Amino acid sequence: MATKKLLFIDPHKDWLKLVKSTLKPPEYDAMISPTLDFLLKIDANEHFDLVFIGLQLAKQNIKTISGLALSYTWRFVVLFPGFPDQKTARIMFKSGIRDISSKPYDAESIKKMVEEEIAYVKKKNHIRNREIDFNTRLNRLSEIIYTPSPARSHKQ
Amino acid sequence: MKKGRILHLEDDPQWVENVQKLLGSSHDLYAAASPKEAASLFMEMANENLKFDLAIIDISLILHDAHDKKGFEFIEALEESGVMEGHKIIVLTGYPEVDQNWRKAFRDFDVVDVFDKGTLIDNKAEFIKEVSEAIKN
Repeated sequence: MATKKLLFIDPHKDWLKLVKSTLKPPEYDAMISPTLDFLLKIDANEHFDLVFIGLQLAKQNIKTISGLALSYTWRFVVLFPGFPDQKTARIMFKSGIRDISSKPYDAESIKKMVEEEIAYVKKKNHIRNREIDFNTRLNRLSEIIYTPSPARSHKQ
Repeated sequence: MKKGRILHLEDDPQWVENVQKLLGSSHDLYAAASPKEAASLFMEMANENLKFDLAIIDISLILHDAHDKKGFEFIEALEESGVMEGHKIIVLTGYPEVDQNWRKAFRDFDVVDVFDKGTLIDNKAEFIKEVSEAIKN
Protein backbone atom coordinates (compact mmCIF):
# COMPACT_ATOMS: atom_id res chain seq x y z
CA MET A 1 0.00 0.00 0.00
CA ALA A 2 1.31 3.44 -0.94
CA THR A 3 2.27 5.75 1.87
CA LYS A 4 -0.38 8.41 2.41
CA LYS A 5 0.97 11.90 2.61
CA LEU A 6 -0.88 13.98 5.18
CA LEU A 7 -0.56 17.52 6.46
CA PHE A 8 -2.02 18.73 9.76
CA ILE A 9 -2.22 22.46 10.51
CA ASP A 10 -3.36 23.42 13.97
CA PRO A 11 -2.11 25.90 16.59
CA HIS A 12 -2.14 23.28 19.37
CA LYS A 13 1.38 21.86 19.40
CA ASP A 14 0.63 19.02 21.84
CA TRP A 15 -2.13 17.82 19.58
CA LEU A 16 0.20 17.96 16.58
CA LYS A 17 2.74 15.88 18.50
CA LEU A 18 0.04 13.30 19.19
CA VAL A 19 -0.84 13.24 15.49
CA LYS A 20 2.80 12.77 14.50
CA SER A 21 3.30 9.91 16.95
CA THR A 22 0.04 8.24 15.88
CA LEU A 23 0.36 8.35 12.12
CA LYS A 24 3.70 6.72 11.36
CA PRO A 25 5.51 5.38 8.30
CA PRO A 26 5.30 3.26 6.25
CA GLU A 27 1.51 3.71 6.24
CA TYR A 28 1.56 7.48 6.71
CA ASP A 29 3.89 10.37 6.08
CA ALA A 30 2.35 12.97 8.38
CA MET A 31 3.66 16.53 8.35
CA ILE A 32 2.59 18.99 11.02
CA SER A 33 2.57 22.77 11.31
CA PRO A 34 1.13 25.22 13.84
CA THR A 35 0.61 27.92 11.20
CA LEU A 36 -0.58 28.26 7.63
CA ASP A 37 2.74 29.80 6.54
CA PHE A 38 4.10 26.32 6.05
CA LEU A 39 1.42 25.55 3.51
CA LEU A 40 2.07 28.76 1.59
CA LYS A 41 5.79 28.03 1.28
CA ILE A 42 5.33 24.52 -0.07
CA ASP A 43 6.57 23.75 -3.57
CA ALA A 44 3.78 23.79 -6.15
CA ASN A 45 4.59 20.19 -7.15
CA GLU A 46 4.15 18.91 -3.63
CA HIS A 47 1.30 16.46 -3.22
CA PHE A 48 -0.81 15.74 -0.16
CA ASP A 49 -3.56 13.17 -0.04
CA LEU A 50 -5.24 15.01 2.80
CA VAL A 51 -4.76 18.38 4.48
CA PHE A 52 -6.42 18.80 7.89
CA ILE A 53 -6.85 22.33 9.24
CA GLY A 54 -8.17 23.48 12.61
CA LEU A 55 -11.36 25.55 12.40
CA GLN A 56 -9.94 28.82 13.76
CA LEU A 57 -7.08 28.88 11.27
CA ALA A 58 -9.45 27.89 8.48
CA LYS A 59 -11.85 30.69 9.38
CA GLN A 60 -9.08 33.30 9.57
CA ASN A 61 -7.60 32.23 6.23
CA ILE A 62 -10.66 31.10 4.31
CA LYS A 63 -9.79 33.05 1.14
CA THR A 64 -6.27 31.63 1.04
CA ILE A 65 -7.52 28.10 1.67
CA SER A 66 -10.22 28.50 -0.94
CA GLY A 67 -7.57 29.53 -3.49
CA LEU A 68 -5.39 26.55 -2.61
CA ALA A 69 -8.36 24.17 -2.69
CA LEU A 70 -9.21 25.32 -6.20
CA SER A 71 -5.60 25.16 -7.40
CA TYR A 72 -4.55 21.80 -6.00
CA THR A 73 -6.02 18.34 -5.84
CA TRP A 74 -5.29 18.20 -2.12
CA ARG A 75 -8.36 17.28 -0.16
CA PHE A 76 -8.91 19.85 2.59
CA VAL A 77 -10.70 18.77 5.75
CA VAL A 78 -11.61 21.32 8.44
CA LEU A 79 -11.60 20.09 12.02
CA PHE A 80 -14.27 21.53 14.30
CA PRO A 81 -13.65 21.56 18.06
CA GLY A 82 -16.91 19.79 18.89
CA PHE A 83 -20.02 19.28 16.82
CA PRO A 84 -19.86 21.10 13.45
CA ASP A 85 -22.56 23.73 13.00
CA GLN A 86 -24.32 23.95 9.67
CA LYS A 87 -23.82 27.67 9.08
CA THR A 88 -20.03 27.62 9.47
CA ALA A 89 -19.68 24.30 7.70
CA ARG A 90 -21.66 25.61 4.72
CA ILE A 91 -19.21 28.51 4.33
CA MET A 92 -16.35 26.02 4.44
CA PHE A 93 -17.86 23.69 1.85
CA LYS A 94 -18.71 26.56 -0.47
CA SER A 95 -15.11 27.72 -0.23
CA GLY A 96 -13.80 24.46 -1.61
CA ILE A 97 -13.28 22.48 1.59
CA ARG A 98 -14.03 18.83 0.82
CA ASP A 99 -15.09 17.70 4.27
CA ILE A 100 -15.54 18.72 7.87
CA SER A 101 -15.08 16.61 10.94
CA SER A 102 -15.11 16.85 14.71
CA LYS A 103 -11.54 17.16 15.90
CA PRO A 104 -10.39 13.86 17.37
CA TYR A 105 -8.46 14.08 20.63
CA ASP A 106 -7.03 10.59 21.09
CA ALA A 107 -4.79 8.38 18.97
CA GLU A 108 -7.48 5.86 18.09
CA SER A 109 -9.95 8.53 16.95
CA ILE A 110 -7.25 10.31 14.91
CA LYS A 111 -6.44 7.08 13.09
CA LYS A 112 -10.12 6.31 12.54
CA MET A 113 -10.79 9.75 11.07
CA VAL A 114 -7.85 9.48 8.65
CA GLU A 115 -8.80 5.94 7.61
CA GLU A 116 -12.38 7.04 6.92
CA GLU A 117 -11.24 9.97 4.78
CA ILE A 118 -8.86 7.76 2.79
CA ALA A 119 -11.55 5.12 2.23
CA TYR A 120 -13.91 7.84 1.09
CA VAL A 121 -11.42 9.30 -1.42
CA LYS A 122 -10.79 5.81 -2.81
CA LYS A 123 -14.52 5.24 -3.33
CA LYS A 124 -14.98 8.62 -5.03
CA ASN A 125 -11.98 8.16 -7.32
CA HIS A 126 -13.33 4.81 -8.39
CA ILE A 127 -16.60 6.45 -9.51
CA ARG A 128 -14.94 9.46 -11.16
CA ASN A 129 -12.31 7.60 -13.16
CA ARG A 130 -14.76 5.64 -15.30
CA GLU A 131 -15.04 6.48 -18.97
CA ILE A 132 -18.43 5.50 -20.32
CA ASP A 133 -20.65 6.96 -23.01
CA PHE A 134 -23.87 8.77 -22.23
CA ASN A 135 -26.25 6.05 -23.44
CA THR A 136 -24.54 3.46 -21.29
CA ARG A 137 -24.89 5.87 -18.38
CA LEU A 138 -28.60 6.31 -19.04
CA ASN A 139 -29.07 2.56 -19.17
CA ARG A 140 -27.17 2.25 -15.94
CA LEU A 141 -29.38 4.92 -14.31
CA SER A 142 -32.47 3.09 -15.45
CA GLU A 143 -31.08 -0.21 -14.18
CA ILE A 144 -30.30 1.30 -10.78
CA ILE A 145 -33.67 3.01 -10.41
CA TYR A 146 -35.77 0.09 -11.59
CA THR A 147 -33.93 -2.67 -9.75
CA PRO A 148 -35.30 -3.33 -6.26
CA SER A 149 -32.82 -2.48 -3.51
CA PRO A 150 -32.03 -6.02 -2.21
CA ALA A 151 -30.97 -7.16 -5.70
CA ARG A 152 -28.82 -4.06 -6.04
CA SER A 153 -27.05 -4.78 -2.79
CA HIS A 154 -26.53 -8.34 -3.93
CA LYS A 155 -25.01 -7.20 -7.23
CA GLN A 156 -22.63 -4.78 -5.56
CA MET B 1 -29.37 35.04 -19.06
CA LYS B 2 -29.20 31.44 -20.21
CA LYS B 3 -32.50 29.60 -19.93
CA GLY B 4 -31.76 26.33 -18.23
CA ARG B 5 -33.42 22.95 -18.17
CA ILE B 6 -33.98 21.99 -14.56
CA LEU B 7 -35.08 18.67 -13.15
CA HIS B 8 -37.05 19.15 -9.94
CA LEU B 9 -37.44 15.97 -7.92
CA GLU B 10 -40.10 16.72 -5.31
CA ASP B 11 -42.94 14.64 -3.89
CA ASP B 12 -44.94 17.58 -2.50
CA PRO B 13 -46.96 19.35 -5.24
CA GLN B 14 -47.08 22.50 -3.12
CA TRP B 15 -43.29 22.73 -3.26
CA VAL B 16 -43.26 22.08 -6.99
CA GLU B 17 -45.52 25.12 -7.29
CA ASN B 18 -43.45 27.18 -4.84
CA VAL B 19 -40.25 26.62 -6.81
CA GLN B 20 -42.02 27.28 -10.09
CA LYS B 21 -43.25 30.60 -8.69
CA LEU B 22 -39.80 31.51 -7.39
CA LEU B 23 -38.02 30.82 -10.67
CA GLY B 24 -40.83 32.10 -12.87
CA SER B 25 -40.37 31.54 -16.58
CA SER B 26 -36.62 32.17 -16.50
CA HIS B 27 -35.93 28.43 -16.73
CA ASP B 28 -37.72 25.30 -17.94
CA LEU B 29 -38.67 23.19 -14.95
CA TYR B 30 -39.40 19.47 -15.30
CA ALA B 31 -41.01 18.14 -12.15
CA ALA B 32 -40.80 14.50 -11.08
CA ALA B 33 -42.48 13.13 -7.97
CA SER B 34 -40.32 10.00 -7.71
CA PRO B 35 -36.89 8.72 -8.80
CA LYS B 36 -38.63 6.57 -11.45
CA GLU B 37 -40.35 9.60 -12.95
CA ALA B 38 -37.06 11.49 -12.86
CA ALA B 39 -35.24 8.64 -14.62
CA SER B 40 -37.96 8.65 -17.29
CA LEU B 41 -37.42 12.39 -17.79
CA PHE B 42 -33.70 11.76 -18.30
CA MET B 43 -34.56 9.19 -20.97
CA GLU B 44 -36.99 11.54 -22.71
CA MET B 45 -34.39 14.30 -22.71
CA ALA B 46 -31.74 11.99 -24.11
CA ASN B 47 -34.10 10.90 -26.90
CA GLU B 48 -34.21 14.54 -27.98
CA ASN B 49 -30.43 14.87 -27.56
CA LEU B 50 -30.91 17.20 -24.61
CA LYS B 51 -29.55 17.15 -21.08
CA PHE B 52 -30.49 18.78 -17.79
CA ASP B 53 -28.35 21.72 -16.70
CA LEU B 54 -29.31 21.43 -13.07
CA ALA B 55 -31.21 19.14 -10.72
CA ILE B 56 -33.06 20.47 -7.66
CA ILE B 57 -33.61 17.52 -5.38
CA ASP B 58 -35.61 17.01 -2.21
CA ILE B 59 -34.07 14.48 0.18
CA SER B 60 -37.23 13.02 1.70
CA LEU B 61 -39.66 11.87 -0.97
CA ILE B 62 -42.24 10.64 1.52
CA LEU B 63 -44.43 13.40 2.92
CA HIS B 64 -43.59 14.26 6.57
CA ASP B 65 -40.97 11.50 6.82
CA ALA B 66 -37.86 13.28 8.07
CA HIS B 67 -35.72 10.16 7.78
CA ASP B 68 -36.56 9.15 4.23
CA LYS B 69 -33.49 9.43 1.99
CA LYS B 70 -34.86 8.56 -1.44
CA GLY B 71 -33.58 11.88 -2.80
CA PHE B 72 -30.06 10.93 -1.75
CA GLU B 73 -30.53 7.47 -3.26
CA PHE B 74 -31.46 9.13 -6.53
CA ILE B 75 -28.38 11.39 -6.41
CA GLU B 76 -26.28 8.29 -5.74
CA ALA B 77 -27.83 6.64 -8.79
CA LEU B 78 -27.09 9.77 -10.86
CA GLU B 79 -23.51 9.71 -9.68
CA GLU B 80 -23.07 5.98 -10.14
CA SER B 81 -24.47 6.13 -13.65
CA GLY B 82 -22.56 9.34 -14.41
CA VAL B 83 -25.44 11.05 -16.24
CA MET B 84 -25.10 14.28 -14.25
CA GLU B 85 -21.32 14.39 -14.57
CA GLY B 86 -20.24 18.00 -14.93
CA HIS B 87 -23.71 19.22 -14.03
CA LYS B 88 -24.96 20.76 -10.84
CA ILE B 89 -27.25 19.68 -8.05
CA ILE B 90 -29.02 21.85 -5.48
CA VAL B 91 -30.63 20.16 -2.49
CA LEU B 92 -33.87 21.64 -1.19
CA THR B 93 -35.02 19.94 1.97
CA GLY B 94 -37.31 20.43 4.93
CA TYR B 95 -34.86 18.49 7.08
CA PRO B 96 -31.31 19.81 6.62
CA GLU B 97 -30.30 19.05 10.21
CA VAL B 98 -31.68 15.49 10.36
CA ASP B 99 -28.77 13.01 10.28
CA GLN B 100 -26.53 15.90 9.18
CA ASN B 101 -28.15 15.78 5.74
CA TRP B 102 -26.40 18.99 4.74
CA ARG B 103 -22.97 17.44 5.37
CA LYS B 104 -23.76 14.36 3.32
CA ALA B 105 -25.04 16.55 0.47
CA PHE B 106 -21.92 18.68 0.34
CA ARG B 107 -19.39 15.97 1.08
CA ASP B 108 -20.77 13.06 -0.86
CA PHE B 109 -22.33 14.78 -3.82
CA ASP B 110 -20.50 18.08 -4.33
CA VAL B 111 -23.83 19.90 -4.40
CA VAL B 112 -23.87 23.60 -5.22
CA ASP B 113 -25.82 24.37 -2.08
CA VAL B 114 -28.33 23.06 0.43
CA PHE B 115 -31.47 25.13 1.05
CA ASP B 116 -33.88 24.71 3.93
CA LYS B 117 -37.53 24.84 2.87
CA GLY B 118 -38.33 26.47 6.20
CA THR B 119 -36.22 29.52 5.40
CA LEU B 120 -36.36 29.53 1.60
CA ILE B 121 -38.58 32.59 1.46
CA ASP B 122 -35.99 34.57 3.45
CA ASN B 123 -33.22 33.23 1.21
CA LYS B 124 -35.06 33.37 -2.09
CA ALA B 125 -32.65 35.88 -3.68
CA GLU B 126 -29.74 33.59 -2.89
CA PHE B 127 -31.62 30.55 -4.18
CA ILE B 128 -32.42 32.27 -7.49
CA LYS B 129 -28.82 33.46 -7.79
CA GLU B 130 -27.43 29.96 -7.12
CA VAL B 131 -29.77 28.45 -9.71
CA SER B 132 -28.72 31.01 -12.34
CA GLU B 133 -25.03 30.61 -11.60
CA ALA B 134 -25.22 26.82 -11.65
CA ILE B 135 -26.82 26.97 -15.09
CA LYS B 136 -24.42 29.62 -16.39
CA ASN B 137 -21.37 27.57 -15.38
